[in-house]
Amino acid sequence: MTNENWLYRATRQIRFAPDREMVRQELREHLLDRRDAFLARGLPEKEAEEATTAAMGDPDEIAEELGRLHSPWWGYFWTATRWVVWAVLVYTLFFCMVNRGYLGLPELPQPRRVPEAGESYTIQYIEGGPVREIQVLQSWYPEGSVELGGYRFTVPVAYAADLSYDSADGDHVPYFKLVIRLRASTPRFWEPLARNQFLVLGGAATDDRGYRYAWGTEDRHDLLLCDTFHGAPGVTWFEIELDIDGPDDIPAWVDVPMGNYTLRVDLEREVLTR
Amino acid sequence: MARKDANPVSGGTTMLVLALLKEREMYGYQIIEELERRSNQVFQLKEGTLYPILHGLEKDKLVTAKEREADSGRKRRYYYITAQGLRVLEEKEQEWTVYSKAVTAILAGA
Repeated sequence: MTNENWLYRATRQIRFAPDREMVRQELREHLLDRRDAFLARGLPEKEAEEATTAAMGDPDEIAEELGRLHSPWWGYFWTATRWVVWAVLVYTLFFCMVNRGYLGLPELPQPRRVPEAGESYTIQYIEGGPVREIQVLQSWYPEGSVELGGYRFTVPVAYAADLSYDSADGDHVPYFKLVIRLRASTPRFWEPLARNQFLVLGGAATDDRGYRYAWGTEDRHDLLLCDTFHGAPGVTWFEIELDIDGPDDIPAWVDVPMGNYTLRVDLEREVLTR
Repeated sequence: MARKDANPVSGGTTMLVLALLKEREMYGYQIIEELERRSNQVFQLKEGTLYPILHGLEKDKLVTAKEREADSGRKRRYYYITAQGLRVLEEKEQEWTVYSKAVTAILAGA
């Protein structure tokens, strides 16, 4: 019997492969030591190998004992555990990237830059329609975050914008908006954050002066979901726009309906609360 | 816990292996060599059967194993006796003393 043949037979009942390989390696070293000892005594190579396997004993008997001792379940369990640990690590890393606020880290760059007062940008509301230049008059950066229904909300920026334009008749039409940008994230990254997910149609924002900002009502002010832009799985940004009369017509706070809850965006104190 | 030894020979071998490892860490081949040398070739077990014993001891946490390079440069699996192993060895030694005294007494009386 060759050494390798003996090894194979002695370890074949160990069912967990990494275990089997480890034991095989250990026994292989022993076989080599024993064979070297026989060679040193002057035995020819072939006889040394035969003598080695004879000295080792019956491989099938040993195989049975080793198979009984090396239960595969521990091995399987450890393999599964390693996978779970990896999955948790990857998930944690992902979670930390999406919800950096939890760790006190600065947020990742937003898909669209945060406008600052005095800046202007252009927007095209309808494809093929007029491109409007929008002047940012004032901006707020409310602090704090709110956990609602398993989502974490923050307001990276709110800003008042001048969208006044000249009509086809040549009239100057004053047009002002208060834009609130909201960021929603969830640790459940498998959950797609859909467009309009957080705004209940027919819901109305209200402010400290008693105005209702409602879509499709007679009210002067409209609540409108203007844009949704996705960042990564588990995180989304969207903006709501409230009509205002002008740069002096800024509410102290706005209550934004969010499902069954309400978010209060306090512009005066620059905080976000429930 | 220590394995109950159904086979008195392997039980005895377990004690001898622990006794050798009490002195210093060793790998399998070294243990075999030491057993043969110290017993003047009286203990000559089939060498492969040492490994189920060692792995059983490891499973019972009486020894631990660590792979490292021997002086020869080859990778060896060294076995170390644990605190629990030392306790079990002590028990076995006591049992053995009682047993051998009894046997000696009977033989002397015969």
